[in-house]
Amino acid sequence: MRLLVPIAVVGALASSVSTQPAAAPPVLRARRATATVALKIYNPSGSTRLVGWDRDSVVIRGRVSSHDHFFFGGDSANLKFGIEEGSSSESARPADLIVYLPRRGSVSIKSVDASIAATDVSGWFYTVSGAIVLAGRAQNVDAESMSGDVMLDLSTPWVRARTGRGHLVVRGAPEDVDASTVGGALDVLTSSIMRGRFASVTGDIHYMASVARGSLFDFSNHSGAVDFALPRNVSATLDLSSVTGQLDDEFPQLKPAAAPGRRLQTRLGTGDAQIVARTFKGAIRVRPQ
Amino acid sequence: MTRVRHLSEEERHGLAEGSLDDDGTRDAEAHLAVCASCAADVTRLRSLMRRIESAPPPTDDLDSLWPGIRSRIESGKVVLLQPASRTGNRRRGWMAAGLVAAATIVALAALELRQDRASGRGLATTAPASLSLASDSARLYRDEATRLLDEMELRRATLPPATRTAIDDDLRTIDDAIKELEGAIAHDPSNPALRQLLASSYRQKVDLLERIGNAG
Repeated sequence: MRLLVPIAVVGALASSVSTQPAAAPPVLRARRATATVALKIYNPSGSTRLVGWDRDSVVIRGRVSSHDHFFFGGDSANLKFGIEEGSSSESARPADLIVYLPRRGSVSIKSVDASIAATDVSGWFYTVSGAIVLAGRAQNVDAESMSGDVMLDLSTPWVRARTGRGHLVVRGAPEDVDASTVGGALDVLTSSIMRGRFASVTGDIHYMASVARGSLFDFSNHSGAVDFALPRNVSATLDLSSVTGQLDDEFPQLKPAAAPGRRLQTRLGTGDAQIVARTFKGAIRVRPQ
Repeated sequence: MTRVRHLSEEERHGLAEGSLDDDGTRDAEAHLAVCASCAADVTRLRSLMRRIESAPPPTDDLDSLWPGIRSRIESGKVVLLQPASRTGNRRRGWMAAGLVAAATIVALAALELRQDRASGRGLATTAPASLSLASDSARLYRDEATRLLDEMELRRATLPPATRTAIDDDLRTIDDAIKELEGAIAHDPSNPALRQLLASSYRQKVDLLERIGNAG
């Protein structure tokens, strides 16, 4: 049940990015750009929505407080823009930006508490306390939040995601995933991953999907749980170990091949995927979907 | 009540630059005749495009713009920055090389593990090698974390109080885990799983400190 909320959030935010609002905010800048244009964006507070499109131009819409300055510079291959605080002693007022850029372009965007939402955009996304919601197709994605939620619904060859106490959700069709939290829950809800590394310190990790043939997974947690909900016909070798935590399995065919202490090594089906999970004192659970 | 469908961003842009096909142009123009909001927006876009096309190419490149912006931001900060250590950059280079080495060690360990599985050897027979590799990896991450901690103190002061609290909590959480693992290793030094968990915790710490560094 707890997973339904983030899924709904991803869906709602992703659709809000792709649809046109009734009254679009004014154009701040528009410029022709190369197909692989690189954007460097700084919007400390408010929100930034990024939309990849099939045009050879960058268009920035939004509203900026009269106290702050919208800076913009660069050429058709490299652009830098954002909000600069009007006074060095004050924080910037919230600004809501919508940025359209070529699909093959990339961004390097940073915010303090502004949320970042993107569809069909690649690059580096960073916020201190805002949320990051990324959807669509991307070449590569690196998403980091100090304390905000990170919601990924992406089709991409490579993604890296980090948050501290935020909730991290991986959906869509990523292939190579490296994701971790400190205390936030980490939910993996996709069967497309070929190489996955998932870690937390105290947050629970939930893997609720099938596993691809030939895929490799590594799960690591200190005191949080690692919870697998796998299809009954899953084909994988499992190497599960916990120093002091509980190992629970509800698969009827799961018989420990060797179980010294708290370790379980076994094979389900023909063992087409490899799953390694280790915790210090967090529980490891394996159950059929 | 019927909700008006406004022109999409693509339609507005296409109309302004004249790239819509005939049907699209006809439909869009018809909408503009009854929608002041879209008509005003397309007019603004056309005006912008005329200005862009007539404007000379920018003479300032990005590198010349950014220092001025950066210096204005920096001038407002009240944190006194200590002079950078002369050996800082060199040490950073060594640490980067160290991390590459750590990554190589982890990769080799993973490769070894896979080969062992493929050859049918049990995990117990590889424990000494795994132990050594995991120990090296943890040590390199620990050294990098120590260096990043020094830098973090400078960044930390520029962050909002709520963020500082969150950072402190996260660091405490990771440090508690590290302390617990080091205690367990003291009692069971030949356990490779503990070393791997320790390396993972240090990696978390390095990641967190790098994120804090990115906040500046």
